[in-house]
Amino acid sequence: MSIIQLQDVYFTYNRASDSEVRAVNGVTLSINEGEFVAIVGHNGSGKSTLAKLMNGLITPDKGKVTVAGLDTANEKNLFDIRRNVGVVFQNPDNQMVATIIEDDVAFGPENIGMPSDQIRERVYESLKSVGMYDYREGTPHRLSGGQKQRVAIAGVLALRPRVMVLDESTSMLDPRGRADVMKVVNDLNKKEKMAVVMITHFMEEAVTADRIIVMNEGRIYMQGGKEIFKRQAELESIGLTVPLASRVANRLREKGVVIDEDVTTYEELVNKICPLE
Amino acid sequence: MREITLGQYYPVRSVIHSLDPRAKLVLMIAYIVMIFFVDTFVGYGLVLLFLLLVIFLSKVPLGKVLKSLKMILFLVIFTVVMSVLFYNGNENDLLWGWGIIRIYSQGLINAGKMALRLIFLVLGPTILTFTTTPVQLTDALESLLKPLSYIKVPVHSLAMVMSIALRLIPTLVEETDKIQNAQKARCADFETGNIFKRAKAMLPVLIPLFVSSFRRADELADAMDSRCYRGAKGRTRMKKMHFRLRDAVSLLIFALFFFVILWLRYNFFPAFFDLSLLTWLV
Repeated sequence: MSIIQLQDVYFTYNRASDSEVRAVNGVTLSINEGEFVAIVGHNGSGKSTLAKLMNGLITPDKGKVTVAGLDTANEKNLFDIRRNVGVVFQNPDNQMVATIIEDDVAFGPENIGMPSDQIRERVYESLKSVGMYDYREGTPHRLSGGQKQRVAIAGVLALRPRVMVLDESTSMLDPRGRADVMKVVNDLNKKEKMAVVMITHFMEEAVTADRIIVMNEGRIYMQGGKEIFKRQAELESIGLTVPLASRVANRLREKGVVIDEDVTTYEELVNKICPLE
Repeated sequence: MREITLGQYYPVRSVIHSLDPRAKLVLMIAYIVMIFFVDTFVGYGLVLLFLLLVIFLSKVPLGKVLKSLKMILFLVIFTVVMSVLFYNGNENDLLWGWGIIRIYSQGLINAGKMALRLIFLVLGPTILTFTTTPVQLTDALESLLKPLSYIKVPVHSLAMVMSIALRLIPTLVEETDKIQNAQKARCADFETGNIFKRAKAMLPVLIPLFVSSFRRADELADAMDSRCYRGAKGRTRMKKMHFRLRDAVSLLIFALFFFVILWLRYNFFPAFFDLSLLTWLV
């Protein structure tokens, strides 16, 4: 069952001015319950605009976005839409509201008017699931980027949304922070069955996704599972780098080595190459 | 990273720290009012004892509290010198005179009281900020001003603005550092020259800081919207402020103390105990 649906959506920034930017150009897609979707694309491909369209921060110029059947263009729906779709943004510093971590995580539940003991329960639970429970009474500005971003994820989790959208949430992190965040996100998807929309320009982060959507110039350029990594030349032509393991596999395939399955990680590559003669 | 202390909160557990911030705020205001009713050295002595007791209970080192007086030191000295020099007493009260400078003993007494009043006025809020976090103070203010929201004063929004400002201070300080370093790397000079030159050198720091604050504000607003924020409407709090017995007791103790101070000044019960007979009570 689909939760988010975009039907032939168009969006232009600074409409009717000289600096008009067409960000999204006729996109139709749907996000299903429990699914892990990666949206990849180069800068300016319109991928971040999609995130803002999905929870009604912006509304389409043309076309329709619905969340759990509710139209984002209707302002009365926005509150319920945002309870269903949580968004984690790029810069962790710009999404913290409070000076104490647990207060920040509590912000969402406080807004939907939960009783205080229930809020505390949810805050603790959310902090535990991102592994930041021990830091709950500290202040966010002492944390590393990856830790801050995990707190931001906890803040979204505390609202128990059905979909979590991560809008380039790992792009400002170091490799370790990125790996931590990815682990948390994967766990949420696998264990809690929460649908995840991962918006990124790192192809490596897309490899765990059930479905990969490649954006270019505001349009869906390519869509599919891991098999899209075989189309290396096409991806590189729109400025995307295929994961190293896939590149190696692709080159081997060109040389006539039989690697039939889609290879995206080192382990898969090793497992495919070692049995070969 | 530079160490940034917000205000001067001293994090220990004490009776004073654990009081309801609303009670503390009310007490502080009442204290300031009370100081203006004190006009004898005995009165000031009582206030001093009271303050020492509060500081002792708060577990904040006395030295730290006194340090905060440094910033008003100049003001105190200035006030004392001025009021001594410009006091016009009668001639048999004259202590020392030279040319137009005449120092009267009553002038000295007045100046001393003025200095004490200034010092005590500063100590009250100082103890409050040592024992209460800025966020608690904001919450207390929001709670106390709530009645104003019935006459359409946006109390919640104002409190939210204040708490976000507090939250952004460390971030902005860090960013200023970054911009300054980037410009130092390109040979900007912030250290030499007179104050005007240095202020001018800060301009290329302030402009990017200003621009990025707007960008931050925009992103923060999006993040808050995404987390279902719609102002005070239907909003609850995880940490509720509780007005407990200890708060009531401290208000009561303070009310008693205030009464004693008023009694010292107005001599309420001349028939029962006439304070005016105590001539040493100046």
